[in-house]
Amino acid sequence: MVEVENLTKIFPTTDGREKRAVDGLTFRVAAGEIYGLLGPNGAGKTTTLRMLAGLITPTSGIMILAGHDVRTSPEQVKRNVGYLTASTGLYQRLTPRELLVFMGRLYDLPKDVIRRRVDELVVWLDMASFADLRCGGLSTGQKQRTNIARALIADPPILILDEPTLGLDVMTNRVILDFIRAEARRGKTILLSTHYLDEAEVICQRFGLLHEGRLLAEGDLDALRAASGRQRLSEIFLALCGQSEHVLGAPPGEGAS
Amino acid sequence: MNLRRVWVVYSKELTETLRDRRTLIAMVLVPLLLYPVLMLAVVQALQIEHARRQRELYRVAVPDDGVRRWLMAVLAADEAALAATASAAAGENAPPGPPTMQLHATQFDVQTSAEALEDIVRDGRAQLGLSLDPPLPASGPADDANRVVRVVYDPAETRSEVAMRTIQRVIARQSQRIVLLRLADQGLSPDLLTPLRISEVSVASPSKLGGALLGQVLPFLLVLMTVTGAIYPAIDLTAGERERGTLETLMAAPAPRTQIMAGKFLVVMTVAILSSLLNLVSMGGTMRFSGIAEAMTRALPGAGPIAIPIEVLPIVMLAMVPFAVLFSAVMLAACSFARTFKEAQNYMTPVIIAAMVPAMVITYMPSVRLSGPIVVMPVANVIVMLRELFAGRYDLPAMALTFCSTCLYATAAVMVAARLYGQEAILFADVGSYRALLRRRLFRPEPRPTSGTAMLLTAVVFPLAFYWQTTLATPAMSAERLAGMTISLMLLCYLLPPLAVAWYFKLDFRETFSLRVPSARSLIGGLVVAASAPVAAVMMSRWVMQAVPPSEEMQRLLAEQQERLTTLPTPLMLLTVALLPAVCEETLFRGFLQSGLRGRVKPVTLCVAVGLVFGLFHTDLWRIPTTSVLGIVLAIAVLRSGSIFVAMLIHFVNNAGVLLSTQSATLARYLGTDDPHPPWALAVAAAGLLIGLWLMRRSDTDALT
Repeated sequence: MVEVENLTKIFPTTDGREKRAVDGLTFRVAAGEIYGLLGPNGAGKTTTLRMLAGLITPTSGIMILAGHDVRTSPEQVKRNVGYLTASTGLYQRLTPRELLVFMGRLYDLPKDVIRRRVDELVVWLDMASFADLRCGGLSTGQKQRTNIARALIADPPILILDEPTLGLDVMTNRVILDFIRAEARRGKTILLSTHYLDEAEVICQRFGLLHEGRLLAEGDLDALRAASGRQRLSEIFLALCGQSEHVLGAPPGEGAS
Repeated sequence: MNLRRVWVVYSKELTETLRDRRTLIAMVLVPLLLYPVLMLAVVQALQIEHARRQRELYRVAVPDDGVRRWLMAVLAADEAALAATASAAAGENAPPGPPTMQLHATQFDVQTSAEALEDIVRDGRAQLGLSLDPPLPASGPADDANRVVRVVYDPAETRSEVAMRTIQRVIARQSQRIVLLRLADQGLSPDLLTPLRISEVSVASPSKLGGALLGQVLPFLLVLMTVTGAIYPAIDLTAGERERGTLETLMAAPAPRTQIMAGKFLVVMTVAILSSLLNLVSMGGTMRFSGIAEAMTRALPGAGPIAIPIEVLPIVMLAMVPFAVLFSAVMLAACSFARTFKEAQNYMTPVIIAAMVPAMVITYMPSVRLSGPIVVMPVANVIVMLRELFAGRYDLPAMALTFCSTCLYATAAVMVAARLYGQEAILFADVGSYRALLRRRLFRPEPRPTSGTAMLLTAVVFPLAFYWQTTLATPAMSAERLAGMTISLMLLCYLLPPLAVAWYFKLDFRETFSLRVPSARSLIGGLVVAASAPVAAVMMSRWVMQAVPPSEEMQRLLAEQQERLTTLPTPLMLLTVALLPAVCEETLFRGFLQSGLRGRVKPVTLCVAVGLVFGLFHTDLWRIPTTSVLGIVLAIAVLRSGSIFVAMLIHFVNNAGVLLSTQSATLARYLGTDDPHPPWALAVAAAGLLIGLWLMRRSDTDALT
């Protein structure tokens, strides 16, 4: 469903040097799978997901989502992708229902399909109590549910979720995680990024460990355990990162196992 | 372009904008309240001031009781005389009314004082000090000597100044009355003193007069209000969206940036136009019902009755549309660059100044007319046009050019806005600096310019070329100077800018300027077109001249210019008028502009747009239709043949043919420059054009790529 090969993004900086935010990334995500892109801040997770969502153009590499190449047919890709981040804002002066209708129309969906879909989402995400209030006055949880509904309006087969639980309370966190599992059960391909490793361990089937733009390791938990000799994901991660520090020329005796 | 999606964005953004309190205040409340309140305030202030002046007492210090009695008598006599003329005039049914600044005799409190008059006035104990020289005789009847009335006053004090003006007039009228008495004593007629008298006859209708007066003030206000009305939506729809974090999801939706931008632009434009409209309605209503016309008539005695030309307002509204379009686009482009609301507000300041400064300068230059360089000067042209409209002057060609040039600038601004908006560096603050956007070193080589770059360059070259011509051209220019001007124009305005921009943006020259060797078929086609085009062009310009006959002066100028050119040696003439235009104009129009638009608009739109812009550059009205058609033909030629050289060939042959027809009788007969061809010849020429264009094909290797 999602195929990424040798993806690289280089940013120019003001002092004239180049910054390799993402460096030669290769991975695949199958339908019905939840893939976790893990890494500390600045590892290149967000940049990778933005490239997959067609928001920024890669310097090089191939990305094929739902059979369409992002570079040659970005619109086709966008049609098949629901994109959601924790920092996403809503239109303050629209109601959730109006917002969903607007998004549906941007996706060129027929009017009756939009109406049916909005009604479904309102019921499913329990939005009836606030669906006709202006977004500006909603609580964080209500906003996040509206955002989920927005990402799902066109019922896309692929969901790209950038730190979907960042800064949320326990209740809202629960709503999000439930939604992710439910969508995966329905056969959707889910690609999410997070730096909450414990959460990822529970929800994801496969992982990509990202550090300074490069993929340190990839696979399911067993594969990662085998590669690192550690049990918990956070330990695995630290071990692998430490290795790479060592490889990159960190002082000997530090971090390497 | 998917108009349905533009409409989706438009209706959503408009809904949101109309739910925004700030926009509503700036757009609806301010104009609806501003004018009535302003008018009320001014009228009230004037009335209060007037009433205050009518009540106030003005102290006049005089040296002795004799002068006091004399002054009181003069004031009383003057008051009586004024009342008499006023009632007489009322009988004649022409009320000039007493000037509002006039004080009544009873308002002067005349007091004797032993101190120096200067000191009293300086200390403010009296507004005026008045003495007579020579002094009045101490006793007995007043003599009939001529006297100097010395009035001490303080021009820095308003009250003293007001009293001074009144006393001045009173004394002048008293002096006149004494003259009349002296003449009567001598048995002479007062007519003796006025051998010549002026009788003013104004041909201005009351509404024209009112329009001219309003035209001084209103355009500025209108421009300012239109701009302020659109500021908030412009910021809110771009930087505001980015700041609230909704831009990311909007960009993730399957709608191209240009469509989103088009929708947003239309919203800002709608708000700007609505602002204009509400301002005009409020202005018109206030003027209609507040009795400002009567007030102006009173305030400007002698100008005759003044009326407000309400009927001009709809046309003014129409004239405001391109301006609203331009500024919506400029504001949107400026805001697209901003990451935050605050940053956008900072960018708005220069935009507002850009609108206000020309508006203000033009306001203080009341004699500027809609002609010459002003016609294509952004903002200034609209202001002058509004003033002309208010004054009831309609210069259609100049107004059309104003309209078209403003639309051209607006299109370019929209393109820039679309290009900037959603740029990675602006979209995500953490991606890198937007200064990197202008660093050549960091550019990725592109095959050809974007439509935004192409339109922007064309829009910049347009006024440049226009000023170059109008500054250097003088009516009685020598042929050498004319040649020099044309050569420099071609090289500096048409050739250099596209080449420089193409280099700067690392564009592929071959792709951008269609530098391909034409196929043999295309060359033959080009020759056929080149043989037909001048025949059609000559016929067409003759018809245009007949349909819209130019003034005699214009005809003379055109003929002179033509004649002067023929005095040049033939090779220089060919270089100036045929070779350079063929190379330079094709580089800009069929090269840079066309490659920027190619593939981004439908081929038909592409050719028509390139042709029309090309026509517009030939600013005089009689050449625009013919050159536009020629431009379209050339655009099709490049599109079909894939080679700029074919267009250069046609362009050169066309220009050279028309020029050389003055030297060769055969050529003149062929082109029909002296004796017009019959109308059916146009059909033949058109067929030639079509066959020629049909013959053109890209060479095989290019067709594959």
